Amino acid sequence: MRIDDLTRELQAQAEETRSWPMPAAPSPVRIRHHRRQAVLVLVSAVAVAAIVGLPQLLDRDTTSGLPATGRPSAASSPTTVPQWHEWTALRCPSRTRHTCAVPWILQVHAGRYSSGTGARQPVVEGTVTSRDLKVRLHGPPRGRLVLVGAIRPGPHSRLMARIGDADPVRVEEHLALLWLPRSRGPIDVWVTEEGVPAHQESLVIEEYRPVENTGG
Amino acid sequence: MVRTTDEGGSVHDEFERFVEASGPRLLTTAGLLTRERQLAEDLLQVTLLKTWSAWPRITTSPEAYARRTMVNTYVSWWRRRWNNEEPSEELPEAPTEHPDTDRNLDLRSALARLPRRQRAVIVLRYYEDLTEAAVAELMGVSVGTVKSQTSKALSRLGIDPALGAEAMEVSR
Repeated sequence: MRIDDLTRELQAQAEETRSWPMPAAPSPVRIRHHRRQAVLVLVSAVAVAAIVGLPQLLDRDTTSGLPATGRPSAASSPTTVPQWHEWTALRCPSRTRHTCAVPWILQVHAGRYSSGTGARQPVVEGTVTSRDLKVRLHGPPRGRLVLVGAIRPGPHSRLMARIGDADPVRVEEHLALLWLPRSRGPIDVWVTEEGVPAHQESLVIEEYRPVENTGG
Repeated sequence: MVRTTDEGGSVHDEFERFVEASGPRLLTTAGLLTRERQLAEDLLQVTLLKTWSAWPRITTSPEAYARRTMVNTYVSWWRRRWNNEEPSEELPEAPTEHPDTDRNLDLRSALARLPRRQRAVIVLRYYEDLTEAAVAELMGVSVGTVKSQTSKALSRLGIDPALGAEAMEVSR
């Protein structure tokens, strides 16, 4: 077998791909439109919050310093969790794959994010059980998200995630999307599993970076 | 080469012209890397998104930038997603009386089994016809690494069992 054969084979494969139709390209206009949508959503949200929250704020019992729900306030918590209905998988590893739990591109509200650094760890590999996973994320964290949890978990699996020095958070629904806090240095992200592991289960940490750009 | 940018919001048109002109070539490269249409489309989509994201900062050839992004995305994503990978499918052993056809099937099968980085090097060297230095620059590795990856890939193609006795005779 010679290099010529290899070159011919690659050219033959390339020829086959030429019959493939071009997929829809990302449209800058559409991306810009999303940004405009984001502004509208933000303005609407502020208006709704003002209408709904202002009367409650005025009537609030100021003798108690505790927040009404008992949850930590946004100021004390480094992350907030976009709920499931607030994000959508836009591109999956392949439409032929059986799951889109960890997409390549996702949309949160009107923002579009592409996956960056990440890792997966099967919980059960032969006789070895690995029930925690840690990834160190580098680079400026502005606007970054991280998806943490597990895919194909067992029914009795309990998952906790921790970002940097923040308190651990319970991962509901087996996967949670968290905002990364502002930090100058690298940030460590952990996911830990307790309970009963499942054979097909994998722990997942996947970072997402914004891809939106108006281009000028 | 310095890319000029028009004023007055025509950056969008410029990007769309780039996609129109370079998209088919990039899809071909994606197809050679991934060997599967759906994966190639995914890879191209992500490459274009990343390219658009960096568009204002690209001062050299946008296609070169996109190709670099594509190769590095391919190598890093597929490496990270090992858990999602499926074994390479064996090509059907079609009965044939043409030794050339057999040899081509063997070569195709062997190419499909190359590790991602080695496949990328092979595609860039022997399809894109880039020099070792250009491949090294594009992949962000040393020329020595390109040489060793090329050598390993060619070696794998030469001694792969799927190549059969003919290849073994040649390699002796």
